[in-house]
Amino acid sequence: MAENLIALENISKTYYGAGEPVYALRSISLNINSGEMLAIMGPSGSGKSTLMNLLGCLDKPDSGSYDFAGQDVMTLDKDQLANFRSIVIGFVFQNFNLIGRATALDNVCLPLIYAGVSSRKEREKRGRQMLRMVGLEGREHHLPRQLSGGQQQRVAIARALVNEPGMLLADEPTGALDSKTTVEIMLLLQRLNREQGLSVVIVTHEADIGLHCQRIVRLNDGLIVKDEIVTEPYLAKMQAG
Amino acid sequence: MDLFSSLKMAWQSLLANKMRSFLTMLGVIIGVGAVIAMVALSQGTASGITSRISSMGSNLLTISAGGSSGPIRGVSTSKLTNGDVEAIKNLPLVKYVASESSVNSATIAIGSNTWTTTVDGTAPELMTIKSWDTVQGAFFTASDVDSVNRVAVLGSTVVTNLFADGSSPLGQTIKINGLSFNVVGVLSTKGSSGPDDPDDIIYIPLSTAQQRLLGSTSVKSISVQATNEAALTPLKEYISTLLRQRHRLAATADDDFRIRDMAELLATIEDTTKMFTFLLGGIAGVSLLVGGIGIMNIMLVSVTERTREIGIRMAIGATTRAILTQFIIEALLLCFIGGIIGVFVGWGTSQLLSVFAGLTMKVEAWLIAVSMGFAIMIGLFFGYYPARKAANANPIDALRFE
Ligand SMILES: Nc1ncnc2c1ncn2[C@@H]1O[C@H](COP(=O)(O)OP(=O)(O)O)[C@@H](O)[C@H]1O
Ligand SMILES: [Mg+2]
Repeated sequence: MAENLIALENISKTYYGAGEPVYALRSISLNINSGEMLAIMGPSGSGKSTLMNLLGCLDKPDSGSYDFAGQDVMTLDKDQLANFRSIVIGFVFQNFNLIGRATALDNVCLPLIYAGVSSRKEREKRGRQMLRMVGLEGREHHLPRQLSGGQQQRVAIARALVNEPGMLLADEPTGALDSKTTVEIMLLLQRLNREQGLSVVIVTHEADIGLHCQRIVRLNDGLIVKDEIVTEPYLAKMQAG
Repeated sequence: MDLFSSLKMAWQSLLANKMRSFLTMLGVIIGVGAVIAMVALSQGTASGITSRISSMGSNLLTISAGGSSGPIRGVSTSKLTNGDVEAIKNLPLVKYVASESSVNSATIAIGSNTWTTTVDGTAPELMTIKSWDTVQGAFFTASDVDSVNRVAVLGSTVVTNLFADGSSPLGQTIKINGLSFNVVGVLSTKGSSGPDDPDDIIYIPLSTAQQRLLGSTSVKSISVQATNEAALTPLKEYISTLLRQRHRLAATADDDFRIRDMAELLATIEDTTKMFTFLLGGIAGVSLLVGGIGIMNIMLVSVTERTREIGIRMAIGATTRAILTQFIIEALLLCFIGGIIGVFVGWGTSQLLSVFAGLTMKVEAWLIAVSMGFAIMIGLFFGYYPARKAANANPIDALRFE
C-alpha cells in the first residue's frame, strides 16, 4: 500500500580530484517509499553524504537512473534541479546552515522567496506557522546566534519544510547537539513523519539515532552492505527534568 | 524572486559589513564627486566667458589689418585707413561702424600721480556696439571727433590708480604723453576674464589720437555692427570686395586684412572649453573607474567568503539567476548609494569653491544624471564577473566549503 517515492538504480558517483579517483558510490540501487523514515549509516567516508546529495538533487550521478515521484531526475539541468528540489525536498544539515544575518523568520521564509511566493504577508504567515510547528513561537525575530543549537536546528527544519516538500533529508542532524536536544529533534522528526506522512531520510553514524527509524541502510566503501527493517523503532520521549 | 526581497537581502549583507561597504563605496563617492566638481568648474568657466562675449552682440564683425597668412602678423605693411572706414559706413546692411587706433603705452599724469596705460582713439559708436555704460559723465560725442577735441573717457582701473584719494575725475584735466585732456566720463567696470584687464584703458576721439598722438591716418581695427545676424555673411562679402578694391589687390593675392565675427570666436571658445570639460571629466572618470575596480575586488572577496552561504541558498532552491541577481544588486546598491553621496560631495565641493575661491561653478541636472548613470554602469560592469562566479558555484562544493 505504501507508494514508491524514490527509485535509484545502479547509481555510481566518482570524484576525480588531484590524486586517484574516489569511487564514492559503486552501482547502488535503492527504493524508498513515501512516508518512510529511513536511516543511512556507515563509517566516515563510506559515501553517506554523497548518496544524500544525489537523493536531494544537489548533484547528479555519473551513471544509473533516478526517478523521484515519477520525475526522471537525470534529464533535469542545473536550474531545473534547483526548482525541483525547492518544492519536493527539504534539507537539514549537521551545522544548521542558517543565514547568520537573517532572523529566524527570514531564514524560514527564504525558500518561499526562491519558490516565487511574491506576497510578503503570505510568506510571513507560512513562516510563522512553521516556527509554531517546531515550537519556536516568539523567537521569530531572533538571529541564529541568539538561539541555542537545538533551536537553530528547529529553525532549519522549519525552513526545510516551509515549501511542504514530500521528503526531508537530514545529514547528521544531531551531530552537533547534546543528548537532550538530540532527543527533542528526533521527537520532532518522528512526529512529522507520523502525523504528516513526511518521508524522512537521516544520515547518521550514531546507532541510537538509527534505531529511531523504521529502516536502516548500511553503506561501506560506496556499497550498500545491509538494508534492514527495525522491528520496533525507539519512540523518542522527553526525559522528565 | 521579487525585487523588494532582493533589495532587502542585498541591504542586509551590506549592513553585515558596514565598514567594508563604506570603504568600498568611498571609491565611487570620490569618483562621482570629482566628476561633478571638475565638470562644474569647466562648465561654469565656459558659461562665464561665452555670456560675456555674447553680451557684446553676436552680429558684430571685427576687421583688422594684415592677412591671416601674412609673413609676420602685426608687422604687416598693409594698413586700414580712415578712407576704408568711411567707405564701409556707406555699405548696405551696416548699422554702426567704429574704428580704433591706439597708443599701447602712454604715460598719464595728474599732478604728481602717473600711470601707464593704453590710449585708444575711437568713435562714440563703439560704446553702442559693445553696449558699455558710463558710471559718471558720458562718452564723448561725434562733434568731439569732428572738432578734434581733447576729451577722455577713463576705464575704472585707470580711475582707481590716478584718483586713489577718491576724488571725482569728472571735469579734471589729465596729461596724456604731455598733452592736456579733459575727463568727460568714466566707464563702468567690465571685469576681467583673463590676464588682460579691459578696464585699464582710456578712450579719446580717433581724430585727436591720429593727429595729436600718432601722426598717422591709419586705424588698427574696425568694428562693424550689422543690421542683424543674417546680414553677417553677405556683409563680410561686401567688406572683403570693397577693401580688396580699395587696396588694389590682384585677383590672385591674399587678403591684407582679416574679418572675424563673434560667432566664430564663440565657436572657438566653445570648442576649447568642451575639450577642457572632457579632459577634466575624463581625469575624474578614471578615479571612478578605479572605484569600480575596488568594488569588483571586494565583491570577489565577498563571493569567496560567502561560498557556504551560496551553497545553502542553492540547496533551498535558489537558481543560478537568483544568485546572479543577488550579487549584482549588491554591487549596484554599493554604486548607487556611493553615487548619491558622491553627488552631494561634488555639489558641496562646488559650493565651497564658488564661495571661498570665487570660481563660477555650474552643477546642472544632466551632469548629476550622467555621473549617476556612469556609477551605475560601473556597478553593473564590475559586479557582473563576481556575481557570475557566485552563480556558477556548484552547490555541493559550496556546502563542503569551510
Ligand atoms: N566533492 C568531492 N571531491 C572529491 N572527493 C569527495 C568529494 N566529496 C566526497 N568525496 C570523497 O568521497 C568519499 C565519500 O565521501 P562522503 O560521501 O562525504 O562520505 P561520508 O559522508 O560517509 O563521510 C570520501 O572518500 C570523500 O573524501
Ligand atoms: Mg558525511
